[in-house]
Amino acid sequence: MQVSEEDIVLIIVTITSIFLISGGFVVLYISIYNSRKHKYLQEKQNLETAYQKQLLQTRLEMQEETFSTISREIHDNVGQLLSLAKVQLNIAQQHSHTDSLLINDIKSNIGQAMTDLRDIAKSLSSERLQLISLSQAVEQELVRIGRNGILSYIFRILGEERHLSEPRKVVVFRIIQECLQNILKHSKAQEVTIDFEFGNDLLQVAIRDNGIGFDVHKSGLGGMGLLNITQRSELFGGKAVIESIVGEGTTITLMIPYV
Amino acid sequence: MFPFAQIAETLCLLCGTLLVGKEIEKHWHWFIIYMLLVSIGDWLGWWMSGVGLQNQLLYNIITVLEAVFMAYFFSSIFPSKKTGRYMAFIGFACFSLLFVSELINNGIHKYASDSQIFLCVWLILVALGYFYFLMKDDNYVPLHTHPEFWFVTGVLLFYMGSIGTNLFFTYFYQINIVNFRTIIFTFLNIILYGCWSYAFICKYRKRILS
Repeated sequence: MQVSEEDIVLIIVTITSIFLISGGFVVLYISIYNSRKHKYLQEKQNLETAYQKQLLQTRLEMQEETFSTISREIHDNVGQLLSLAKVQLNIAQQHSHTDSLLINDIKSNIGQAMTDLRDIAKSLSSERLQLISLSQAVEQELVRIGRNGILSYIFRILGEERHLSEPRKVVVFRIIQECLQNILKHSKAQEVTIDFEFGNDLLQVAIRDNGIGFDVHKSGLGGMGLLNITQRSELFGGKAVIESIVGEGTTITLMIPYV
Repeated sequence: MFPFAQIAETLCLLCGTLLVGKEIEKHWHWFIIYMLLVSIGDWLGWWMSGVGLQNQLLYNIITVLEAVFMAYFFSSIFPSKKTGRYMAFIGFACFSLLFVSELINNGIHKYASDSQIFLCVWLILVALGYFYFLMKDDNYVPLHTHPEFWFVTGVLLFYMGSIGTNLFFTYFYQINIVNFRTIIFTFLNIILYGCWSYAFICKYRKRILS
């Protein structure tokens, strides 16, 4: 059978078209598959972030629970025992001939221990935090730390204090506490400055010290609870910026949205 | 016939020279050199055909150049380097054997059409292999800006489109429809060089953004 010129042209055009279209379909399939992969990976990442957030939240809740228990124990148990010891010492002073100077000394020590324990109990209790504002809680914390005489402080508030939801307030307070603990433990600072700035959409808290500082890039965020600070700030859509110059001190700026 | 394919090729070469000339990766430099050689070859082939000279030897040389470059470039960009090298090496070795045997049987002045068909099949398989490894990769790659993807897309479309024409190569000369073959190849070349030009643009954007 003789195949005509037109037939051959038709066959070639058909084969070329089929192959070309198949190639096009392969490319299209790869593109669709790839965009699905992108969606899947994004969803996976979102789930992972949500899981991490949930985990952190649970951890913080458990921590708050533990703090509350310790605070109650100090107040109801150890505090009571110390009060009883103080009363017993008063009785002993009245009824015996022991050195009254020594007993006064013991009484004063017990009194100091009771004050310190009360302060610790206050600072641990998140229930107490509900009764006062965040700035008041931070100021009380600064007063408690300042009492040791190691660290002096400057506390400033800019703008009108805005209400923060309870969980947010507790988290911000714990972050500031962690920063202050870091300053006491590592910075060798003599002065700490805390500035509260209540903006339109967010609260900005800057915690500055005049300590030895550290190399942020070298130490990374793993040490000194810095990762903890960053993660907690991100929990409510906020941010923590850590800046430090060796020999000049450290500034941690928290930016927490109100909602 | 008006040299549409050669113009597209030269524009692609210009695009590549301007956009990836400063690229650090060596295989992109070789890409430009390959484009330059093929472009010179194609213009020469077009001129020879215009003045009635036989240009099949020239296209045999271009086919070898094509095989060498494709083997090298694919082994450089393949997501799985080891597999890429195997596919490139084995394919090139088979192509070389077939090409040499074809030259021995038919002489150097006859177009090595069987080798060209083999080249098409081999490069289609390598391109599909590239896509397979791209799909298998756990990491996401934004394909619309991925230069290697556009290079491979051009290769896949060009060789898939040209396989039919290559299979019927002898008929074109028997029934004298060579112009029809040129039309198909012009169309395929425009697709190929369009994809490659876009690959150059992606590579340039990637470099300036990094």
